[in-house]
Amino acid sequence: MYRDGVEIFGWGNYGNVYGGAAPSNIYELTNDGANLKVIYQFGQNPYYKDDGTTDGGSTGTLLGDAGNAEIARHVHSVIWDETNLTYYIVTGDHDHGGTEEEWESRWMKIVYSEGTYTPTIIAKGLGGSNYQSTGFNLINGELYYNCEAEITAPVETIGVWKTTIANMATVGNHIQLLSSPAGPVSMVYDGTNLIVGLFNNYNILFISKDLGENWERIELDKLPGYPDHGAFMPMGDLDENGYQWYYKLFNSTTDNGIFKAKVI
Amino acid sequence: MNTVESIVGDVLHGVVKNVTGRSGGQSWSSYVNTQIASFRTTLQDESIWDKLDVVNLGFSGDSAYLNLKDDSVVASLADDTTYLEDKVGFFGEGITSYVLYNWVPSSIGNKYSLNSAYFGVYCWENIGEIGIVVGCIGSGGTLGITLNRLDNNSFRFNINCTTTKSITNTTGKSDGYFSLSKNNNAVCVSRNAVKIIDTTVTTTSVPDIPVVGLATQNSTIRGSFSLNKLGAVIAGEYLSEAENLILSDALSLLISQIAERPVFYDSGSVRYSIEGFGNKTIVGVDQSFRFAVSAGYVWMSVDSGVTWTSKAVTGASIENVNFAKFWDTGTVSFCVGTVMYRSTDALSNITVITPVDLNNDEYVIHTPANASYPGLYYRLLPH
Repeated sequence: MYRDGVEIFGWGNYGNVYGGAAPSNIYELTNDGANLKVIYQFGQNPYYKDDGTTDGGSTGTLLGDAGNAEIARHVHSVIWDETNLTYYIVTGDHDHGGTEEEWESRWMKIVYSEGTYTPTIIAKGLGGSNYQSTGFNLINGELYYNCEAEITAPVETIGVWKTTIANMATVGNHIQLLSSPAGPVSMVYDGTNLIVGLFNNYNILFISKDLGENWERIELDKLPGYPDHGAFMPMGDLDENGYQWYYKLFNSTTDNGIFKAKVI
Repeated sequence: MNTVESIVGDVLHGVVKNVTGRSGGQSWSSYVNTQIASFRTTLQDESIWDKLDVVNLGFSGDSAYLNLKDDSVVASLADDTTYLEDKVGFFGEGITSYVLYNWVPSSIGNKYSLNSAYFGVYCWENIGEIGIVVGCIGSGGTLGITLNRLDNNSFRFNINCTTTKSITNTTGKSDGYFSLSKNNNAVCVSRNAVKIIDTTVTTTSVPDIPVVGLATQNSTIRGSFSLNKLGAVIAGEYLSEAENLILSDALSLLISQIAERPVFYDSGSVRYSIEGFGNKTIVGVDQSFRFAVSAGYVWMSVDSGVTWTSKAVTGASIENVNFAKFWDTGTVSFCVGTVMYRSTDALSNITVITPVDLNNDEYVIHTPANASYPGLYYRLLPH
């Protein structure tokens, strides 16, 4: 990520899954990593209090910004629009009730201007909506994303979609590129290939060489050496030989592995 | 330096994970043969291939071998079942201490002539205080090369062989000489080592690296390699420096391709390889940068895992080192638990980076209810 030609790095934390409860934040590193700023703090989530457990609960200490009503379990994806100096962010995971204040899935943006960061909520969704998503990628001015709403969404909506930035808030104008059998947990773009990994227990990669026009389905569990379950999670950057590296995301530590894959 | 062999690739960046499943996809042997064919083509194009008499890939510590010049051996790879995965695995630690364990010159004979051969002893990592012995113990005699550590910078290099005379007689060489020097991380013994085969030589010029493999002079040239290592031994005609470089590059590439143990899946015209690594767990990759973690340590490599630097950081574990960002400058940012660090000198020094809020006031990390579960403050979920 670059801002006015200077390298920066923005991201959000993927917490409240193990390792204890944590507030959800958007961070920005600048000055060659010497400065770390919390540029957005989500509100206090009553469903992920610090109760001393591995992923928080409904009792214990509230964490987060008491003055912010926007709650999130964690941050799925943060991308940077270098042209418009804007972060686009997607959070997850659930809706805890019928009111928007209880929804954790949202798309938002944070616009940078002369040292200020202006957040705006673009859209929120009930669990099962397109806004329960992952894998933001900004390619040629369009947002490619995964609808991961595997629990409540109609199965045909799960998969890869794209939208223009202008249409982010209007799902009806989004275009579905792939219908997948489970919620995609990740999507990376290496400049040629879109690579999509699915959620737990689905050993499947989908790869497209033409920005979603055509997809190839890779059955990972048929690969020698690949463990029998677990998400296939990319690290995000390619190595010097064009390999994408992956690690196992959600499964037990007994079966962890680091893998790399290259589309040839 | 008039030796041609000096090839030990950057073998492993860690212990390669054992591959247990083998269903589906392109077979391992098919993959290996593909890489070998490419390697062979490269050397043929450069008119080097025919100058080599033996190109032996050695696997692990059991003297398994694969002489790429022996078509029958290469062809055997066509059958998966004859090429057990354990033979190409890298398990355990330590250094094997024998080669040619079943080499019996008196009965097998030397199918490979010393007249045009060069031999190499391949070195890799620190040896112990005592030193290391490589060689063979077989019913037909003993061929041994002993590297005894004298001090931190010198070794006594002994060659002894109970079959000295038969070797000498076979080759007819008696006017050679012995040399020992460093060449691409290899200690090389010239082809005329037979001249001094009963001689004890003390040298102070051996680099502080131990033996990984040994090339010797039988037909198959079974090499010996340290456990967890994959290397190659070469014998053949003299190669020019330029040719040697080409050979080195090609063989290093081949070794890396095999050592990193890709297992292929063919799906139409698209191919994917999946690889696994053990010991250090790599948590960040960006071009040639690697960031890894082991219990109590973080690791960094700027050369694709060939070399590593490390830093002890209290509490570092695979569970809590979940953010690593490489900057264009070479600086690395990483977290251990709820602490963000920065290093501008490849982990020689690390600095704690304190987060601030929008008002530039310190952002305070909360005190967890359970110290064992402080929360994932910085964990990055890639896109």
